[in-house]
Amino acid sequence: MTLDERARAAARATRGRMLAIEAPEPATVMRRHHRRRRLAVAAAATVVILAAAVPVAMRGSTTTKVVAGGSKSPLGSTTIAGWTRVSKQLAGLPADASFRAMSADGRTIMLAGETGIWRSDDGFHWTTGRAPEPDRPQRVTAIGQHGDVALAVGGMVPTVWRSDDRGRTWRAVARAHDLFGSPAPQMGRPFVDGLRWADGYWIGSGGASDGHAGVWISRDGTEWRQVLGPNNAGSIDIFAIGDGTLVGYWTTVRWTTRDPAVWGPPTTVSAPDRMYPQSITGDGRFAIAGNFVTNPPTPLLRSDDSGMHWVIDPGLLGAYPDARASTIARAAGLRVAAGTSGTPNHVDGWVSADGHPWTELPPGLRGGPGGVLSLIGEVGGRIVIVGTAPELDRYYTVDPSALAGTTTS
Amino acid sequence: MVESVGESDRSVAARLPFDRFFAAEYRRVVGLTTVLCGRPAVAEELAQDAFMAAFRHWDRISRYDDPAAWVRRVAVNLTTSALRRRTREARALFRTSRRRPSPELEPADPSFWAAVRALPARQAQCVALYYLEDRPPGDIASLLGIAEPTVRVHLHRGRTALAARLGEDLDEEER
Repeated sequence: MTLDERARAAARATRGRMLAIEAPEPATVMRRHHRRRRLAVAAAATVVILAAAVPVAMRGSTTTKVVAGGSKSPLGSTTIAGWTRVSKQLAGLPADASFRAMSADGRTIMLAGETGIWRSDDGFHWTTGRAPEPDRPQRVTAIGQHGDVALAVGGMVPTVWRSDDRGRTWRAVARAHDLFGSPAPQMGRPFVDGLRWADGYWIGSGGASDGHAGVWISRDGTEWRQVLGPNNAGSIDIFAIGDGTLVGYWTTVRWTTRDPAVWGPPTTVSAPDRMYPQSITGDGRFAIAGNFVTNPPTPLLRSDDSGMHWVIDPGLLGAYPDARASTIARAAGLRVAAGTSGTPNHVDGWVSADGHPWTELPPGLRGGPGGVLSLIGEVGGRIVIVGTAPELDRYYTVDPSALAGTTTS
Repeated sequence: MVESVGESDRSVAARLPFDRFFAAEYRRVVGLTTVLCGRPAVAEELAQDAFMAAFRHWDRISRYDDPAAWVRRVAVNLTTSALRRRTREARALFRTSRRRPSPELEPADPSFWAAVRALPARQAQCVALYYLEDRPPGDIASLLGIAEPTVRVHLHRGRTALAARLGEDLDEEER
């Protein structure tokens, strides 16, 4: 008998046995499922308490708390020293959701991705943004908010969705193959992966179909005009500094403007040898370094002139040498870096008031190996850190007030 | 103020098609999780969890071209997660799975399926879908969200390892 013959015989007989079993009623399955989840969560919570209590008691420097149902965080969440690990599924997000973009204005936080948009007012409980079926947001690549209005961009055919009620309901307001310019035969279609509001305009940022960086502006999301002049950069991200100046950047190229409709020529920033800022905090003070020649970990960069000149800041890698942060942002008054670290790698995140010292995601909250955290936002004074991959079944929040006195150097 | 759609509303709209879908696919999905998991009671619960995930989003999933592939993908992922990560939740799930499984849930030729489970996870999934569900590599690629050539590589390596482990001969074209 060959392997193939044995395998097919085993499969045939197994299929026959399975077809003989009695399928339960769906209602019965639902009851069992819910009962099982309750038991599993309760049992897991008990294990978490016991597992965390021993090292906590030994260290005496952090606290562990499992937040019970009825309190602010979902059942099964685990909190250590101000950091909380939350199950995507128990928080109302699809466990296998793949996210591409986040937007947060302090009151409402939104996550968007392959299959929709979700919103939350506390970072713990999420609901799906609703839309009539033809308008259902999908493959969203950028999302932004201004007051009660939010816009999202994405779709197989370039589409802009708009919400006027803080992300509860959505409708498509523009959809066209050439919404952001015609696709070019060699370079593909334009992509928009950043969206923000400033000075009366919605501003989309990304890459144009000519292969260069692109910035588009719109008053209401229905019509878009490309405003970045000829350049040789591949794409652009934008942040705003305190005086209202918008700063666009791509590797060591930078543009600035006070008027979103008029952007000046690019200038070149200075950075340590062969490095460039690949992710910059909203105030332009810190950046995660990209490196043209080597693999991460690459260091943190610091600038005292809103991103024109960068120097290496030893704070993060000095304390955590294997940190591979890929994103940095300012949230809840803190600097927050996120990414991965270790071998095999695990999710990781770090927060700091001003670059030194940094507090790391407690090891007891990492979960299984693999995963990268990359989206950072703030809602209700709480920092929310999420990964994009559908395989990551959890996300994290940080309560800044609970971090006081627990930073490590 | 916009009210959210409650689960009861969704269930009313989707009850009949979901019931038919469940009745048609339940046994096959249990079979798949059983051969991949090796513990019939746990496998049945993993399959049920996959169907409950489908039910929660049935208004969307029912419009997919192949909802059966979606539920299999979820079931495979749940099984892999339960086996690979052994999370606290998974261990709790194992501990709370005390219901006696149906005797029919024991797969035929258990040593063959045990050898499949000993393969790396992706190889085991490809082999199980190829033999148990009789799916061509293109279907498996679509279901698992990987490229068809990758499926062929997993199948080749999986079958080669199985032949060595079980002391069976490979077919000519596999050598």
